Amino acid sequence: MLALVLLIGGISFVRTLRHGFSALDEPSAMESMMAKRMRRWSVPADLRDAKNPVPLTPEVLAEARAHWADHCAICHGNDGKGETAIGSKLYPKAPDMTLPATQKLSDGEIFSIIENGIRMTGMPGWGAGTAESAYGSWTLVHFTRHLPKLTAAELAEMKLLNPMTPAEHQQLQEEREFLEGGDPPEAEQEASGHMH
Amino acid sequence: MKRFATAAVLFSLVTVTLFGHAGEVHTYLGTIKSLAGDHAVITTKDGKDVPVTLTNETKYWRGTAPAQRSDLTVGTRVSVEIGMDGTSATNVKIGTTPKK
Repeated sequence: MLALVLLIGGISFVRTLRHGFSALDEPSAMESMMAKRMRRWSVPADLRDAKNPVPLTPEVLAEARAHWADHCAICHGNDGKGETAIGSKLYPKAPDMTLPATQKLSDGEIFSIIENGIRMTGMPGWGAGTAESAYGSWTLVHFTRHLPKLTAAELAEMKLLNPMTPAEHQQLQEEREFLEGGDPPEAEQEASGHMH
Repeated sequence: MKRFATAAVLFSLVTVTLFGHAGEVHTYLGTIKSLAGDHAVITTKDGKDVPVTLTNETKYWRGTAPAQRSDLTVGTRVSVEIGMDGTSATNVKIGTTPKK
């Protein structure tokens, strides 16, 4: 058994040395499986089955929606699908959080991921060790649960709350003027890496 | 020893890679030149024609209000956000339509 393990490890190691590796690659099924296992181990035992202590209200959801648009959407997208210039180029790529792989996580697991991040991925730990930080993360757990049910109106509202550079503000203004019948600006607005 | 071997294998497997590619997000401002089924052609200011695929996932907007695929007509000014695959529209903002 040990010999087999060493053989597989050796082949993998040689293969890696020959081909190199990039953050643009897709993790193998084996790697994904092990990473998920390790992510579960990273969650403190007392949080694994914890329920969200913050009651869900429309106000809490609105607060979390704005928080998400400002802090999370740059990688995860407003819709949580991870189809962003940054999220799609991380290793591993930002996941589609509307899918069961995320939705089946417990409240405590999602909270722990937000607070503590995930090592060796692009997910930072947002926790500050304060009650305010914990409250914000629990509200984001509610929003994560809400992602599969996001409405078009919510997405439109979030788009206006995404961080923008002065250049993006100008692009938005030009776009607005163009759509309202003003003179068309330059042909293509190259948005890669900048639009939110 | 077993732990060391397991750790070595874990490390090796974590670095095993496959190849993949990611696209870019583009936004085009222009007028609709043609509409046929799921396909539209947008003419930008410099006369460049950009083919666009309208999918079931495409979202339509008029300002911040949701709109519909049926709101698109030839000649309408639009802002079209193209997704990672390079052709599918993810968001279409609908502007003014020419007077008939």
